[in-house]
Amino acid sequence: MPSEEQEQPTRVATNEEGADKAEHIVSTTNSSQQITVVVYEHYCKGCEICCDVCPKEVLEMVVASDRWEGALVKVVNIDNCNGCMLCEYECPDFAIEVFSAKKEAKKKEK
Amino acid sequence: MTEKRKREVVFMPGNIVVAEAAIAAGCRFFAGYPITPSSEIAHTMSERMPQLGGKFIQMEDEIAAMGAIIGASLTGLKVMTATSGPGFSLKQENIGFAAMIEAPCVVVNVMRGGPSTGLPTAIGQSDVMQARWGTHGDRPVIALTPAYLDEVYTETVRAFNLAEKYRTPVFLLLDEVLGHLSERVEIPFADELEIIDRHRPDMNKREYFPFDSSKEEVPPLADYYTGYRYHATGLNHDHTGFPTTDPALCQRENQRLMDKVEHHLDELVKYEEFMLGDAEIGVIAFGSTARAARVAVSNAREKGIKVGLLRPITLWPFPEKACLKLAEHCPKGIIVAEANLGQIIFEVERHARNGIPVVGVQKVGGVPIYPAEILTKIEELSAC
Amino acid sequence: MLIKYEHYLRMSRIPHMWCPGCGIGIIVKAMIRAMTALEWNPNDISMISGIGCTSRAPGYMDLHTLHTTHGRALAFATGIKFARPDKKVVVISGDGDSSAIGGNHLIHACRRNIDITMIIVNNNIYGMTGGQFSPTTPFGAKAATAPWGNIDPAFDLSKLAIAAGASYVARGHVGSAAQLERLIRGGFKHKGFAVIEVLSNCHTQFGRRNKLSDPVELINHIAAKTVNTKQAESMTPEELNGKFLTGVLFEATDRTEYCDAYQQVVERSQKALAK
Repeated sequence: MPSEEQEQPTRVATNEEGADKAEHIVSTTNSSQQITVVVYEHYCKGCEICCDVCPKEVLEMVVASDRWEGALVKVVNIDNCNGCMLCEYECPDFAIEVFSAKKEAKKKEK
Repeated sequence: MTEKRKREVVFMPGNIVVAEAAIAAGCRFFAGYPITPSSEIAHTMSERMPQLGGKFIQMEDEIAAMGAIIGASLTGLKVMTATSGPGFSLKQENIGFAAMIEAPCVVVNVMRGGPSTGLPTAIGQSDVMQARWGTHGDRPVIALTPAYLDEVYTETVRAFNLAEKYRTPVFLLLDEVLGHLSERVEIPFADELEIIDRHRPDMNKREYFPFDSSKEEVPPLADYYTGYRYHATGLNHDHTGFPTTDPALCQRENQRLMDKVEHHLDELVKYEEFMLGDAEIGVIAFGSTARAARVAVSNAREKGIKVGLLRPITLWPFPEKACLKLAEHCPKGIIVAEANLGQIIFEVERHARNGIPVVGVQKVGGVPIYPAEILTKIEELSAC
Repeated sequence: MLIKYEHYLRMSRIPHMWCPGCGIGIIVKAMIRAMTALEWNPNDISMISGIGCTSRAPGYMDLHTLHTTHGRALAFATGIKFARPDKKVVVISGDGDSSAIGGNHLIHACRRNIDITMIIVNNNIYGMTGGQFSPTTPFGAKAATAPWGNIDPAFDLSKLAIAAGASYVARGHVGSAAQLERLIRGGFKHKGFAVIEVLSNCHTQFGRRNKLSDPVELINHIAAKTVNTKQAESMTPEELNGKFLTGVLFEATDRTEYCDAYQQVVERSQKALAK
């Protein structure tokens, strides 16, 4: 049930303990401009789950010695991506997101 | 001609007095678990709470009851639970949690014979050290020990006020005798009672930190669901509420908790002095034992013995200054009468460092200490 | 993006403290997607936990969050819900926290059918404290306190919840995050005590001692042991032996919710007072 408050709830202050890593966001869009995969590299812990669940070989782990597990995900084949969202759903770390124009349109319809 | 108002006069047992006083103080949430000799408090609250639009819930165990009242306190309600020795033992971990996240709540312990299952239907006063030290870690303790039922009423209201003002659990320590005896009580009018509510923040929600004492010594506590979304944890935390392991911060925050009591002894310490003026012997007693002590002191005075009673009403923080003064003025010694095998006597010994005798009248076994037993001790000391 | 996770997160606390590949992050995200789908306002939600890796979740959520004592989340949550039945209460707890030390509170919250949604992250171990066995560690598995193999039989947490009276019980797993979001959403929508047990991977403490130290391998291992209710319909008992059913396992919509029942008490008691 939506509450009576119309405006967005104000984000309350928190300490800045977690804000010590430099942001590095890599955004890759496919040729038809319909799908974008965004990797928040500063959040990626190199667990490789996204690579394993991707059915289309869009992603690959690359060696990154400054990462937790020594690896980092890279989008290597964006045109293969069908926007299934599995990488986003199965990533534990908010490190990868999929933007699909088709899905956005569907959502707006609702 | 103005008519003098007449207070309502009731004749009711101490447990019911606690419930009625809690209601007068604004308590609208009670969670409990049945345990003799406190259950009548729960019975009364179970009947009265819904009638007043409040909430009563009997939880599955004592630990859950303590957890439930803490949760409800964070939604802004004045909350209470009631128990006895074994339940008090069970509640200790969550009591520490309430102290750590600074949640106002009142915990009534109608003490009974112990240890363990002890004597469920008989008097005991053996939880007094547990009230002070029961939960692990350093945290402030406020424990009240009324001795007469009209005082039970006003001290119950005071318990809620102190809980709200200092954002801390407050213990109301009764015993089976006080819980079950009936006495004539004049119910104060609503406007005779001072009611204190916790400070709530009135500021930019983005700038609210639930443990920030930079502007107010006791940080304001926001009610859940009013737009202040904060985190509270039992882990050591800083002013934001998030966990920290920084040694300096932990030291500072732990000390801040203790200071809430330590810096306010003038307000918190409360005791009654009876015939202490020229006393050479002092008697220290609290709760229902103090009733017998008072009689013993009167009887001794009739025999010409110079004796007086120091009766803590706030047991913790302990009336150190009054005790020290008593020790300085009573060369013949101090008698500590308590229904246990010696607990508060350690506090008295600690403060009476001038070598005067500190002796106990200590009784377990479920029968109250009789005035005659205290009188005998007074006479013994007097004869020395 | 389709989902604005930040809406429910304290972004300055991210990245979170869970191990690379830990299923808890997957579950938290599914929960956020469920809240988003239902358009829940953060100001209306409180989230309570006990102690353990799972219990660290509320700290990352921009809600009214309470990190309580081990096993006792439901007690605090019951107080919060009972005091304000009009608001949403979510409990997130691990298998040890909820069924060992918290077992009593679990069965009574189920029995009361109080409108709280409880997500139990079942990774079959006490992760945060170093890998001791829990009431759901499989028989024979190795653990820090079972170096010679666990001899404790394991709870079926969903069965426990159903038997104790929960009116919505579902089981999901971290390998099927889309299904998980649906199950959690169902629990959020349900009026009454809802339990969503989520089979999850602690590859660091459980997996490492049991030859499953890679998160991907452990998640696949878990997924392989699950069968959803639809698939199960056409399977024999022998085929189902050793499998964990996933999906909505139980749902009753005709039970009185606890706060509603108390509201009736309030009305009755006030009527009596009026006489």
